[in-house]
Amino acid sequence: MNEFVRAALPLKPADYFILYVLLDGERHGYWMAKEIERISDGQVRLEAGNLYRSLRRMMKSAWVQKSDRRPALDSDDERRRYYSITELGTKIVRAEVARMRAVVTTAEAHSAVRSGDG
Amino acid sequence: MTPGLRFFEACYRRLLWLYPADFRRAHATETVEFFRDLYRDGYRRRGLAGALIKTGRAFRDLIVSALLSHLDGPRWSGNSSRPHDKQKKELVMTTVRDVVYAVRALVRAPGFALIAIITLALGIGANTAIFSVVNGVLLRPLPYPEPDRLVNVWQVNEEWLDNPDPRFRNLGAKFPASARVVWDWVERATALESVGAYKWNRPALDFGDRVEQVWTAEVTSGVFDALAVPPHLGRVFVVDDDRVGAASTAVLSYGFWQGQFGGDSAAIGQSITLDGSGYVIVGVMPDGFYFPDPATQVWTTLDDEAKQRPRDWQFLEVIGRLRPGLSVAEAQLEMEAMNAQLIEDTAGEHEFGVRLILRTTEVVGDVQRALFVLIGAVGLVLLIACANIANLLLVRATGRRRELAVRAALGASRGRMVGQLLTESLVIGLMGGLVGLGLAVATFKPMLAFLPSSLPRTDEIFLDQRVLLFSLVASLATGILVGVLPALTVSRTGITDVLREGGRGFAGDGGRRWAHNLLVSSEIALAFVLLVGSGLLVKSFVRLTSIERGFDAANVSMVFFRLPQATHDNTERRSTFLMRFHERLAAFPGVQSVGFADNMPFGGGTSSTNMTVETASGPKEANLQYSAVSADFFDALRIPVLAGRSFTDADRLGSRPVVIVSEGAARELWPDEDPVGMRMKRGDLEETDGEWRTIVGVVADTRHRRLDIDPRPKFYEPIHQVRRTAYIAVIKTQDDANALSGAARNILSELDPTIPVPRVATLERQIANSVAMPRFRTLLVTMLAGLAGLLAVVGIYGVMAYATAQRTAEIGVRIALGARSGDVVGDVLKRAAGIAAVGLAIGVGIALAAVRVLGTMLFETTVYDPMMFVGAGTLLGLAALTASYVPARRATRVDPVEALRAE
Repeated sequence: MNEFVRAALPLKPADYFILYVLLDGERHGYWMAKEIERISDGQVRLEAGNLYRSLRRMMKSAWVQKSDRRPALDSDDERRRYYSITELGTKIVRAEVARMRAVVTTAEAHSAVRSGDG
Repeated sequence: MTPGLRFFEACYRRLLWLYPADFRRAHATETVEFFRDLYRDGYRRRGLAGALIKTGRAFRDLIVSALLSHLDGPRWSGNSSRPHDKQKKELVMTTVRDVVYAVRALVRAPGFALIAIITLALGIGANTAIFSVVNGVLLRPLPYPEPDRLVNVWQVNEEWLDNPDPRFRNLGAKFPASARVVWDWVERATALESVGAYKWNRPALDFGDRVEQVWTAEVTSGVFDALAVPPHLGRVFVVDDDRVGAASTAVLSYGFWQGQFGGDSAAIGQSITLDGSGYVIVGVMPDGFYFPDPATQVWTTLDDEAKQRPRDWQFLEVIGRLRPGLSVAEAQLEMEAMNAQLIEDTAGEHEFGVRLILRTTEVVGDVQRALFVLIGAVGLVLLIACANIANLLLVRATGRRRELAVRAALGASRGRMVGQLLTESLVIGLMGGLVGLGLAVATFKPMLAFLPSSLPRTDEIFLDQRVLLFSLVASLATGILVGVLPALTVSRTGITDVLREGGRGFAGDGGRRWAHNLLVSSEIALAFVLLVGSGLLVKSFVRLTSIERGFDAANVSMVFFRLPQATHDNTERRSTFLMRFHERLAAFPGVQSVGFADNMPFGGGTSSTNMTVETASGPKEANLQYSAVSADFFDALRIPVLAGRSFTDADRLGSRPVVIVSEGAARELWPDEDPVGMRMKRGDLEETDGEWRTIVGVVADTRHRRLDIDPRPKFYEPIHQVRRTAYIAVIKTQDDANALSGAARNILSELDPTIPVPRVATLERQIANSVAMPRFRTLLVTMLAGLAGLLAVVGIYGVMAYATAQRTAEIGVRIALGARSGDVVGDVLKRAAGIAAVGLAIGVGIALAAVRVLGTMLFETTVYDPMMFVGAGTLLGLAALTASYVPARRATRVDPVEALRAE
């Protein structure tokens, strides 16, 4: 794990979700916000200000980048800007998932957590 | 296009200016696009309401993240330190220049500056004053070391928790402790580092030349351990003082020591006489120390009898200090475990639960909510004042567009101009704050006197650092609030437009007109909220004070006196004394009737007891309040006798034991019978001793301690047939009751000089004290609502006057072309009505959510009282229209020729 990846962990929930939804390809802001709300069961709700602030921060850190291509299947107008995840970003998501998995595995070995499940 | 989108998008775009410039450049377009998508989605799914909810969230997010973006700015700009230093220096220089420029600009417009500063000073001053109260009562720590470790320890009487009578429920949840259980706790409660018990007392103190009642507290050594305040002189109580048979000792308060011993340290070792018993003074507490309340002058040990009382004698309050590091919740768990063990070990003899309450919460009690309502109300007034000044600034900035445009043309950046305008409003805010603080300091003493007597900790209210910090923050916030909108609006104006336009007003400028309307609408909305709130409080207060009390308090004086045991050792003697006192008082000019009682409505204190009563269907048990009263008591208070007879002088010791019951008792116990002739006695059914008393009359119900608590069933005994030592003489006079107090004192000391100097009060005063808190908050909120309404009306007047003045030329043309004055007036009023309607609509929304906090403060009044909403709305709407009518009329008198010439 390189030092950039290590320094990034643990991710803020919002950052994690943004990176996660970008794994599937280039997306624009509003789509990301809606998708994140959907997959997080409404728990993470990103408004424009926060979303672009996060995106901006992650661009500075080179986790995501602006995308030049505009997917043709989207007939939307010119103003939309698309973002994509970088290689570093992908590594970070992977590392974060591994980290969370470790947390969950440890926790599930604990009797109190397991019994709380049922 | 989706309805409302254009409007909210415009707002949204404006708010984007809160972001740093680089963020705006990079993301403004897509952020707006995001918002459009959001709005459309919300609208598609749930109509306008859905869209509005989304909009609200988006705005909140935008403001927060914009501010945060400014914070993460510097990190991006790299970390080379040299350019940074230079930037800093430049920033300081710029700020200094801006402040100088702002002050100059204000000096050039003294009228504007004066109005702005005075308005804000009143707002900030009022906020500072109320905050100082909140600070002293709620926020300042109690004056003991680590006060967050101090708790009151109560027993819980589960059986009473679901009693229909709220007083039983309250007492059940905070049940006093017996001496025995306190000793158990001292021994077993590991959660508490120290535990002590105390009880209030009001003994007669022998001063040598006179006897006077003083407030004392009987305490165990654990109280001083728990409070952890070392004595100023001598020592506090130690464990030995708690032992049965230990010498009676006393610790003096600093004030008492100064007053009685002139601060002489030789006081230690001397003794004082309380209720005829001597107490050796062992210590003096430091200045400013108080417990349980500031009135307490002397702390004494418990007497031997009290120390040994059995478990079923619950009379002590208990204070403890938590073991370090323990939270109240943790301690509560430990105490419960300890208590369960105690119940087991005493084989059920001890049966109550245990409950810890943070001492601070205990002291502050239920005033917290009332104080938060007040700070909320006064905060709203400041907001309205801010909106007014923002409006003035907007007008002023419009007038200065040429100046700004020139500066822009000479190379001033937009950011610099916003900064400069904000500096000006900050200077206004700070000056307003300074004057406001001055007002708060100047009115501080009178304000304290205005506070209700029932408010705890009033002598801990100071203008301390926290209050100063509060007014500083309030001033800065005010400065930003009033400045932000004008600064943003003005700085966005295109340079060339202004220079070409020649400085015409804002009539044709949608943006600024929109800002004016928004400001005034929000003023009206906030004023509406306050008016509704104050309306509800007033209605509730009127209901409370006009409720049927069951007695007439007009011109009634009360003399609280005690007959010393030594000289009045039997009932016969005490009766004789009362007769003689009665005779002397009745002979006094203007006195109509004189009665005696051991307790009475609003005379402090109640007693209740379990009774066995005879009914047609057999004996019943009942818990009844009781008073012992003399023959003329009912007459003095004008309490009507509904059936049977009142007491007479013949109801005395040795004659047939009689009793009178209240209407409520009659209704509850003998619903379909005549209680007169029935009998009752003290004690439960199975108790066989106790004397049967025959009911001879029924009197009306009286409210006893608080106006908002319904009368409880009650019975009265003849005062000459019972053993009492403390009395209240109830004196009804023709007119002003005050003249009597001196005379009553003199008569009493003539009759027997050993009687402690009595306290004299009027019944009206006592009742007024009982509603002091509701009166205080009602009065204050009403004043604030009035002020808010006034400010809002001034605001709408200002805007309409300005708008019509700007449109003079247009109106002139219209009149020249034959428009009737009615049309012109109608036009102006239409806009005013629009502003008011938007304001009221928003106001209703806020009020519906806000009035809920008043819920528990209202007496027989619902928070959603439609009349209040309609009334407040009508009042504000009409006031707004009236205020706008003045400039509208003025506009119709425009001389077309003059108006056009000015063009």
